[in-house]
Amino acid sequence: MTVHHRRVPACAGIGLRLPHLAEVVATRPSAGWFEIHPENFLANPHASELLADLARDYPISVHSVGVSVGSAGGIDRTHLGRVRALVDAIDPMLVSGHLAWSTHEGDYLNDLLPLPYNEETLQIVSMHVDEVQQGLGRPYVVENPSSYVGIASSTMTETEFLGQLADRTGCRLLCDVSNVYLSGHNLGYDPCAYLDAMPPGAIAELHLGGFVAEDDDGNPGQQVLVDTHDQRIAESAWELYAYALRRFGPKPTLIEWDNDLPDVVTLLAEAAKADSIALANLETERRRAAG
Amino acid sequence: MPLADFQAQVRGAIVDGNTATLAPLLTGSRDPLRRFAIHQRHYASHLAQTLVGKFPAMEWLAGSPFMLAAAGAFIRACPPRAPCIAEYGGDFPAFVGDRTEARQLPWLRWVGELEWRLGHAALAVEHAPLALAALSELRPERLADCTLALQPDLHYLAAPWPVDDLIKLFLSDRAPEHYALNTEDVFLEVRGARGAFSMTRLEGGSYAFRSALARGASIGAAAEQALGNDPTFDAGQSLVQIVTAGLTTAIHDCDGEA
Repeated sequence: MTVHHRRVPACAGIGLRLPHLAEVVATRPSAGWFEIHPENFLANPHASELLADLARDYPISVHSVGVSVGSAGGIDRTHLGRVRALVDAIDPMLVSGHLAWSTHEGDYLNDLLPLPYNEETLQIVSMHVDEVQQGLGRPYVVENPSSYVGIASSTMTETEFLGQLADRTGCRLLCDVSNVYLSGHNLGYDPCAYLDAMPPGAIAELHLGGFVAEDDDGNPGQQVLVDTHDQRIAESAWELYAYALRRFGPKPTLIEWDNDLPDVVTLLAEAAKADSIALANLETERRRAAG
Repeated sequence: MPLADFQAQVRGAIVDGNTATLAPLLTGSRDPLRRFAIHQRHYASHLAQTLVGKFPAMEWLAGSPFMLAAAGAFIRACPPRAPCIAEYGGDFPAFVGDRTEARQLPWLRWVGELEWRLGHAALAVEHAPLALAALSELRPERLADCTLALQPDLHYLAAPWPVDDLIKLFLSDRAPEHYALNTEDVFLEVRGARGAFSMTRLEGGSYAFRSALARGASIGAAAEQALGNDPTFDAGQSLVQIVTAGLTTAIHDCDGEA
């Protein structure tokens, strides 16, 4: 596998969505890095051209929503090849995707769907992550999903699954802190215990995104948290982010905002907040180390 | 249950709404099927809204409820087959045109067909054009068997309604009190790049020639199609026109690229 030396800054970056692309290219805002979804660029030569220009000045993280490593029927090699071509063109700092599935017998279901966590799934996902890493010629970074339901045939926890996946494939892990909070709320586990169970040495990137609380139709009087990426990050997720930083140390952290997009300034302000929390956390750790 | 079978059940629930056998497979709440509905809703509403968002002129003309209902039916009948959703929906205008509800709007399909091509033209990046001199480097007797590569931002549409006029109305954001739309064959060439696009009406012969070249026909075969449409069609002059207009990027003969 090729070793890449692209700088991976341990600071916050923002998602770069197409409505902001021209503005960002023109104004070159002060941002630590940008994250893109390759699926938005593969069918858009004009946007790809602008992205290649930006990639000369900013680190880029490529986050695929279409490489379905959890599909029993295999991954879409044509799509992987297209992602590879984009990756080769912009030399991103990281390439990531989800512990989920989205294709079945050729149908693309346009969602990140849950997997049973058991040995069969682990073998299938490991095989596909190996294939992705071979196909991309670089390590893949796998993100924990946002969950609303569990799967009855699971025999291990999500963190056990992710840990074994990293051990078997050498992939890195992307810890979406908001997903940990949301899934913990929805499925009734302790988010801090979840972070404690993640292998810290495998963590390459963190995510923070907005979610909404809805009435939980299945549990009258209760609420379910839904991963919408359409608003500011909740205070509860910021608190868990501080905990994650203490556990994992400073990491590149993405502000994820995909729907009801605000202006770029608002996104950068959220990134600045993440950086200030990381800085405060670092100071606390320094003081603690100094006794 | 093997993973493949589990995923088949989930696919059935997402696309077809068939959740009859899914409940025992899920945990995590008193009624996990209701939680699972978040995924069903995401597929149905998000995809339908994305699809309708690609056809703003159709929506302007037919209304959001009509379009969302058509999109909902389309995503059940024809789920996406690849992760680039930007490429999904090319068949949607024809699907809309076949719906009973669209019988009163026979031009709507053609608005969508044009809108799809305009949308794709605007995303393109043009390539370096072929120099006219490249034609003279070929032996004249070989020319008829050659094919031309056209700019990636070029699209062609023959429509039985003057839908380019409707699109212009939409783009001008003007809704006249009365607008008489009469059947009329129009032959359209769509160009665009880097966010911009334009539409041009062509004569029948030129349209036949250029659209045949775009489909990969040889110059000779394209000229025959054009002459079938218009016996006065001048293939040589038309060839020079499209090359000098920068519409071509390469010429290929059986020996390779010139």
